[in-house]
Order: sequence, then C-alpha cells, then structure tokens
Amino acid sequence: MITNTLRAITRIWAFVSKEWAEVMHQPRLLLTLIIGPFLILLLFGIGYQDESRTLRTLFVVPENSPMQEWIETYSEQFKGQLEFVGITHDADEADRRLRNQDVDLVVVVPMDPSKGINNNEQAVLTLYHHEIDPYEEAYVRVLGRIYTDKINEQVLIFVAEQGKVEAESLQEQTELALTSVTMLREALEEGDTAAASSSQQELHNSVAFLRLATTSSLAFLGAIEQTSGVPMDGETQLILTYLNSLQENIDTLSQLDADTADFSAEIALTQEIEIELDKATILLIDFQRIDSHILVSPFRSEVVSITSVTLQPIHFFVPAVISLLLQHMAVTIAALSLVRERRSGAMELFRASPVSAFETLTGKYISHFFLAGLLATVLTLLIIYVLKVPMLGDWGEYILVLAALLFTSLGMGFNFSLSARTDSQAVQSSMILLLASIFFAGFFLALYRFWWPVHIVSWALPATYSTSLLQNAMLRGQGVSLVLLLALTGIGILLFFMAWLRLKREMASE
Amino acid sequence: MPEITLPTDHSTDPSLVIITNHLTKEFNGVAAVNEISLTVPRGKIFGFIGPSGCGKTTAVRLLVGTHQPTSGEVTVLGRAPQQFRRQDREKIGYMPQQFVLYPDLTVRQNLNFAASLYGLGWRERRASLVAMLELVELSEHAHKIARNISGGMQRRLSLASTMMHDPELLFLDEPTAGVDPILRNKFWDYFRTLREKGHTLFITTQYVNEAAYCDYVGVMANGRLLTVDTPAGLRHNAIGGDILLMQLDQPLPMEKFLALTDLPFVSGEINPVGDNTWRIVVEDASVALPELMEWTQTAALDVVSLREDQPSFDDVFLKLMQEEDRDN
Repeated sequence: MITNTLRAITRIWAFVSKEWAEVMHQPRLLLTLIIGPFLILLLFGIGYQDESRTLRTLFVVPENSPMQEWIETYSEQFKGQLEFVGITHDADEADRRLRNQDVDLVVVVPMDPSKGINNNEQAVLTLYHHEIDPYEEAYVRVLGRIYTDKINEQVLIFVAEQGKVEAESLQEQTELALTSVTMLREALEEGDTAAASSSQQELHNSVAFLRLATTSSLAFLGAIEQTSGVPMDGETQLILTYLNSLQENIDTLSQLDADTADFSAEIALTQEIEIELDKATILLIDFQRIDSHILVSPFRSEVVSITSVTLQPIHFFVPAVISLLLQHMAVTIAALSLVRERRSGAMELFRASPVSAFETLTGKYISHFFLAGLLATVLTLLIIYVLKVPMLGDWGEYILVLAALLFTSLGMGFNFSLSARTDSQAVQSSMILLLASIFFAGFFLALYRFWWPVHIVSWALPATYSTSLLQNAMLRGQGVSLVLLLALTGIGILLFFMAWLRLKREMASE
Repeated sequence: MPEITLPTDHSTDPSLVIITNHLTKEFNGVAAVNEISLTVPRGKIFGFIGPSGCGKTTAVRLLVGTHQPTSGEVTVLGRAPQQFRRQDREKIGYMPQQFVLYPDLTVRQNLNFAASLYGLGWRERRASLVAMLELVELSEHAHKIARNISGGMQRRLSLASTMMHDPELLFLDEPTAGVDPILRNKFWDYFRTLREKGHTLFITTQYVNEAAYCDYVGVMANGRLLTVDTPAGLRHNAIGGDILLMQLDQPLPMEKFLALTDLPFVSGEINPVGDNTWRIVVEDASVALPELMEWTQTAALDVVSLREDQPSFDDVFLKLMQEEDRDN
C-alpha cells in the first residue's frame, strides 16, 4: 500500500519536475510571462489619462441675436469642455465643418428665445455632433445639459440681482416707515391727534407697500426653504410675521380718539412698531447680503469616499487586469499542455506506462499552479511597489482568491486542451475566453448593463468572480464574499473532474 | 529448425510472453491488422518485419494495450492488455516509432522523467541512470539538451528511457529506422545483451536484413502475418530449400544438365548465373554437397568451386511478397 502510494507520488512528481524543468530551460519564456503582463499594466497606468475631452465648438447664432454677446462671454466658463471655435450665422457652413470634422460640436441658438418662452415653451439649444462612440455621444448629451443649466442659472442670477435691487428700495421704505412711526409716537406724546393721524396714515401706506414688495422679493428665499423643507433660520417667515404684526398694530392706531387725554397704550404700541421695523430692517439687510449665486444655486454636492485612500482610475482597473492576465496565462499554458503531449506522441507513452490520468492531471495541475502562482506573486509585488496600487484588504484572502482563480482557470485550460487537436486550436480557445472575459467579466462594463441571460456567460468566467472579489479586497478593504469564493472554487473542482474523466477516456484503449 | 506452435492452452504456458489468436484491428471497417496468430517465447528476440504501412505499429499498439482489438484474442505476460494492472505495465517497456521525449529537457532529465513514470524512486533512478547512459554511450552527453544532440543519440536516448525501469518485455517500434549502419549494429548488440539478461524483445523493423539478428521472425504484409519462423527456416521456406553454387571450368553439356535435374537431392530450379556457374536448389545443403561432388566426378566434370550460398533476406522477403501478391 505504502509502496503504491509512494510510486503514485513519484509519478505525479515526474510531471511537476518535468514541467518546471521545461520552463526553466526557456528563460525568455519565463521573462515574457512575468514582465509581459506587468509591462501591459505599467503602460496602462502611464497611458491612461483621466481628463475630459475638449470639444471644438462652433455656435450658430442668428444675426442681431442678443444671445451672441452672452455666448462669447460665457464660453470662457466652459474652457475645459468646450474650445470656442467661433460664431457663425450660416448653419450650412457649420454643418459642412462638422461633417469635415473641423469641429466636434455645433450649437444652434434659437432665433427668438423670448418668443418661445412667452408662448409657454422652452427655448431649445440644439447640439449637433458626429460621434459614433456611444460613450462620447453620452458625453455630448451631458455637456449639453450642463451648458443649458448654466444658461438657466445665469437667467436666475439676473432675476435674483433684480430682487436685491428691490430689497434695497424696501430698506428705504422701512426707513421711511421708521421715521413715520417716530413722528407718530412724538405726536401722541404731545397729544397732537391730527399730526398723529397723519403720521399713522403715512406709516400705514409704507408698511402696506413693504408687505406687497417683500412678498415677491423674498420668493427665492421662500422657495429654498420650501424645497429643502427646513427654514433657513426662518428668515422669510420672520420678515413676513413682523410685517403682518406691524400691519395689525398700525390698523389698531387708525382709530385715535381726539378726546382721549391718555395715549400711553398707543405710545407703547408705536414703540413696539419701532422695534419690529428695526428687526425687519436687519433681516432685509441680511437678505441683501446673500450672494445671488447662492440664491439661485443654493445646493451643491461634495463627493467623499469612505475608503481610506484616494483611488486613481488605474487602481480601479488593476484587480480586473490581474484577473484577466492570470486567467489568460493559466488557461493558455494548460490548454497547450496536453495538446503538445498528444501531438508529440508522449501521450501514447503514458498510455502504455503505469501512469494514470489522475496522476498525469494532478502533476500538471501542481506544476502549472505553482508556476502561475510564482508569476502572480511577482506581478502583485510589482503592482503594489511600483504602480503603488493600494491593498486595503487582507493578504490571506487575496491569496485565496488568486489560488481559486488559478485553479479554475487551469481547469478551463485543460478542458480546452482535451478538446483541441492542434496548438493553434488551443490558443484560439484561450483567446476567445480572453475576449469574452474582456466584455463580460466586468472589466470595463459593469455586469448590470447586460441582459440577464448574458449574466450566465459572465458568471461562467473565472475572471468575473476574481475581479469582484479582488476589487472588494484590494480597494474597499472588505472581507471576500464567501459565496463568490466558493462558487469559483466549485467551478474549479467541477472542471477538474471533467478534465480527469476526459483524460481517463483519452488514455484508455482506442 | 525450431517450430513455432500455438499451444492449446495459452495462458498456462509460462514460457510464452505473447500469445495472439486471430487478432484483428479495424479502422472504419478496414483491417489494419488481420487475424494475426503468433506466440513469442520468453527471453527471445522476435522480429516483426514488413513494409511501411503493413500494420506493424498497430500490432504493437494492440500488444501494449493502447489499442483495443476489434476481434480475436491477445495475451501479454499472461493477461489481456485491456486488463493490465499497474504491476503488469511496470514489466513492459515501449519505445514508440518517433522521438517522443522532451526536446527542452536534458538527456538526464528525460531519463529521470521516463523512470519516474514507472514509479522508480530517487535511488533506483540514480543507479539505473548511470547504467543506461553507459549502455547507450551517452554518459558524456547527459547534461546536453535533447534537441541539441544528433538523431542517432536521440534514438539511443529513447531506447535508454524505455529500459530505465528494467522491463521484462520490450516493445521496440522500428528502433533502427533512420539510424546509420554502424549505430544499427550497436543497437543490435544492445538487444542481444538484453536477451542474454533474460529480457524478451519484440522489435519491428523495415530493414529485412535485420531478420538475421532475430531468434524468430514474423513477416507482415497488408495487415496479415505471412509467416513466423526462425531466420534460417524463413530463408529455406521462401526459396524452397538450400542453395548450392557450382562453378565448372567448361560449359555444362545438355545431357549432363538433364542428368543433374534428375538427381534425388535436387528439389528446385537449376539456373545459370554466368561464368559457367550454376545455382542449384537442393533439399538440404549439408547432404547434397558431398553427393553432388561425387556426381561431378562420375560425370567427368571439372569443378572450380562448389559451396552453399546464403540468399539475402531481401530476396527472401521479395519472394514472400511475390507469393502474397500472387495469392491475392
């Protein structure tokens, strides 16, 4: 029993040492396997530019349009996204230049924007492009939206500025009201009811005007409070409350009795009105101080990642690239392995010898696994120390994911090898797998973008699992999903058994 | 002249390592090996001769168990190859026709791999490696990469790797193909050495003359086994007897020629081969030679020389092939 086991181990080891010796005698191959993938990553890291594209933009503006000046002024604000090529009145010329790819974008300004608005219709800025890449087309759409938002913002700023000018006049009205109420109080103190009535009338008019004007001027502020659901210090409401209260108090003073000698209650009321007007003045000054930009764009967003490091675009792609490269390498070496044995005639030798399919396959798995593992180690070290890609997760889990990826990829490769008749067929199979992985393994397209049956293809690819697992482990620092890891390993085990049975059949008598 | 017979109960005869009975292998309905019946005794060299494509390699594959027979029976080392256990396979060495070892490995690494396939541990391998390298004269080239050694050396390496586990029975499929005559002789020296050590060798070859080095020879054509015999028996049967070459100092008169054909020991044709020399087929050369000498004296013929002639195996083979063609 022991002898048989030792002999089986010897036979397995025969393949391990043979495969290693073959690789070691090809230093160039080894160098290519290690340096090649890293160079690809390095080039990707250096070459990838996370910059938005600047579109050469030509504006078509009708002659004598008031928009022309505005466009010239505000194009500066879009310097990163738009390169202002010029303004033309000739739509045909713009079309020709767009078709000749002299410009990337043509913005056609409507003939008479105010007419449309007056007719309760939005004025339309039409953006013409010649893009064929859907992502570039989406970029143009987003740019168009940002551009019109900017125009709308400018309109609102203008309205807000007007509101503030009105608020200035309101302040003057408040000061007039204050003078009137002071005069009213003094008249009451002197018992001069005629002068008091006159002052009360002036005060009534001033406050009525204030109420009317303030309501419209503070509309912006009110809208902000309404949108957010939280009053901005309740300022709008306060001003309106003060003004309502003022109006009531002033109305109380309208019925002055000339025969009354004691006006102490009315005097107290005028003092109260003075205080309320002071407060309203302070609030109006505060309102004027609010920047018009903030009034029209009261909200802005700030994006803060909860990961502890700043991730560069290359960092996101690295886990997927590692997965793809290691999968491809493992699949290819395994795919070529058995085909070459068959083509050289060595398989016939194995069939005549005591070596079993299990021993042959296990030996090859072990040798290729450690070879690919060595390459994965070197690749990882270069990625971490040269490309400075963060590793936030647990190294043990990272190793587990790579081990599962290599094991499953080797299984896939051996099954390809058992189906292929020639080297080129084996290489073609691994290339098709690589192509499928680039599209469906979440390398540059998220899986949710695919129709659900295509997900079956995605989840049949080892790289899909490892990309997701490595992204979480490396970039989020999260523990690996046990379900995904077990699923990947499960596929690997299934592929091993499939390869074993197929090799067993091949090594049996013909 | 040893007789090759098929025992009634094959499996009980330990002296026979290979027994086939109407062994047939068909590919797509075409018989590559057609009803072959033979036995190979232990400790002998069995040569399997035939033209290219006659089914020799298929026959070997049936014997080592990589092919399954379509019909018929085959027993190797007392067991059908389809039922070989590991222990049975460990007793067999198989050298395929092509060089199937690894060109990127050294000679030593190739031998180590071949031995490991048979489960040989490190110590056993080491001992065997030295012996085999010496046997095939590759000791000095042990560290060379296999692709960088000559074709002849590669054949020797293949042979050594087949013998690394010291198999009881060796199947060598055209081991001398493409090998120069000097190396070919060396190979046959190895084979004889192995036979002396008790190994049984089943060797296929296209070289007809190599039949002379075998203990038994099977001749194959078109998938059929034409004959199995010793080299001498093969020659005798093909020609119809032994051959005597008689040279006279004068032309043979017609009445003497007719008298010669009537002699009892003359069993076949009498043909002139030039320069007053005659080729006479007799039943048994050892009996006929003195009797013919006596007849020439009686007939007053002056004999310049009289000797037994060994026809080449090319002639023997040609004759067998002609007969095969005639039968078909």
